[in-house]
Amino acid sequence: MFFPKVVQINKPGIIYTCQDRKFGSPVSKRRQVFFFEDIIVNLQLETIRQMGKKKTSDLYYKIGKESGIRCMLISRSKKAPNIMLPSILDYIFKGFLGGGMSFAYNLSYNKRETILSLKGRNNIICRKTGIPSEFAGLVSGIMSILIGKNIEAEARCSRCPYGCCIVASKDIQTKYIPIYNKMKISKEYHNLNFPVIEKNNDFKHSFSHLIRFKKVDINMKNGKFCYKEKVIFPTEIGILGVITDNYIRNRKRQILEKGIIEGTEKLAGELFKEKGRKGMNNIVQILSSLGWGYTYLNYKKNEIIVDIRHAPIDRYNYVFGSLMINGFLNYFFDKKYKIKSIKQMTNPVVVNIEYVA
Amino acid sequence: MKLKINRQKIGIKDFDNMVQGGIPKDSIIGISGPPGVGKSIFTLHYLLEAARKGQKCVYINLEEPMENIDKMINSFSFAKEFNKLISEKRIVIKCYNYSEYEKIYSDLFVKIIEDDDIKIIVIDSFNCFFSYVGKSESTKIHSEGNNRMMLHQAVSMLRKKGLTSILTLETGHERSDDFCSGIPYLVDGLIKLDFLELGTIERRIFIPKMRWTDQYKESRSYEIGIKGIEIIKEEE
Repeated sequence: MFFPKVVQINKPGIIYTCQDRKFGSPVSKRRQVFFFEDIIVNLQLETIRQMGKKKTSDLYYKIGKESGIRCMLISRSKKAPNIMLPSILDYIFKGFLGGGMSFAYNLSYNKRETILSLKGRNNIICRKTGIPSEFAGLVSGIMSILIGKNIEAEARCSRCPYGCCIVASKDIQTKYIPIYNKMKISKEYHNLNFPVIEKNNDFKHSFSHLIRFKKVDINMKNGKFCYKEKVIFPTEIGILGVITDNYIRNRKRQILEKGIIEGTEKLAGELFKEKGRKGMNNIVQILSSLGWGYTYLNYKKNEIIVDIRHAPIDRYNYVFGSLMINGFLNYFFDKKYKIKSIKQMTNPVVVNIEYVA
Repeated sequence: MKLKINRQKIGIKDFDNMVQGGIPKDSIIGISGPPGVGKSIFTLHYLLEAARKGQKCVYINLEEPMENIDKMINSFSFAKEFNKLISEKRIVIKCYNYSEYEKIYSDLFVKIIEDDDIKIIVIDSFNCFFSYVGKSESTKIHSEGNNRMMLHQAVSMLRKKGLTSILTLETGHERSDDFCSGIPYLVDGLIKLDFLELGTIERRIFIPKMRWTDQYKESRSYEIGIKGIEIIKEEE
């Protein structure tokens, strides 16, 4: 009765979730994409290499907190009555389990002391990088909205990856207070990301195709989606914008580029044997299935022009997606491509990226 | 008490095992899928199996000329036997274009219903015809309600004791056609064929609906080869 019903809609190139309450409150929609865990892991490891563990941890705490706030703002969440908090927290973190965030498997909340404790194991990303601060930040962001004042969180993991533990408490010293307005969805978000779904005459695949054809397994035990044993996780596209924004703000764009491109190259090497155009055609279908729009490739001499129709758009103009495609092109054609330009057209949304070798 | 259901084999061994030995007799089954998944080939197996048992079968194709149907039949190893059954009039093949079919289909159905020898009918494809008439100027039928009524009438005409029908339904890869979306409610069973193209083409068969049948709940992979459709055995 109180909690929104979440429906996931997936069509070729487009995945989104709709939230609706039975009585009264408005619908919220979020455009999602599935992303490979290993690419984010590579990005974090590259950041550790270049910035050190402490600074990476701090950066990802901020990213996590902004992501948590974004999640709450997009679902129009507000300060919750204290009596309902345990149920609301349970509802929210059970939802995260489905995305592979198994740090939230066991939840306890002390209403009087405002202490939230989350325990689990084998959580995505940090199980491979040893940096759980992103998830501590996420919990902090969520709690700050629900409590109505800044609440910080910290990871108190005992032994990675089996002893995940995140605690949020009013007693933890202030670490970071983000500007909430920056996390709100933009005016164009709905116009750009929820197109009228057209007739699928050129047979692009959807996520449900991957499930029906058993290409994606859902591990019921740990709630992780796997494509050929590589974990993929759903994320609202604005979260990728939050990551991009934090790297760019900190003048670390080159780490972002190197981390994503090289991470994608490695991943492609592990997943795909076939190279050249044939290999790239598989990627076109996979990107469509994972919600990244319909991708069309136009090969020229030393140039590849990529058009992505119904691309998921955040305020950073498809940076994440363009770098990921860059990595795939490098792997499949054994060249080092560079992005020459990214143009975005609206109505219909088409992102046009020129890569040059 | 368990109802005893008479079943009609499709003739694809592993498929028949997926539906407790065959589709229910006297039922109407839809077989849907995008182009290239083998809907028409599936129906050839069905016609062949029924004709082998001496049942008279009618295959109506509304989109392809007779030459294409011949080419399709002759590309399989069962062509000789199939053609023999055609010559013995156990299998009757009729090809119409939409305008011809629009004029004669009511009479045609009456004839089929009145001919007690006909036990099997295949209409390939069923829904495309209705999307054509729905838009045709001559009929002036545009509303969804009327289309649904037309579909209902057409399906009702096929409900006759002793007549088992298969209707192929063309769908896009993901979308369900307006006309197709009502049909799954009207038919007794629905078989979905689909493909995934990741480097190679992989085809799978799903049976979301089969009345009076405890059908196989998982999907199965299949291939189209010289013998027609072959369901691939999967490792446990």
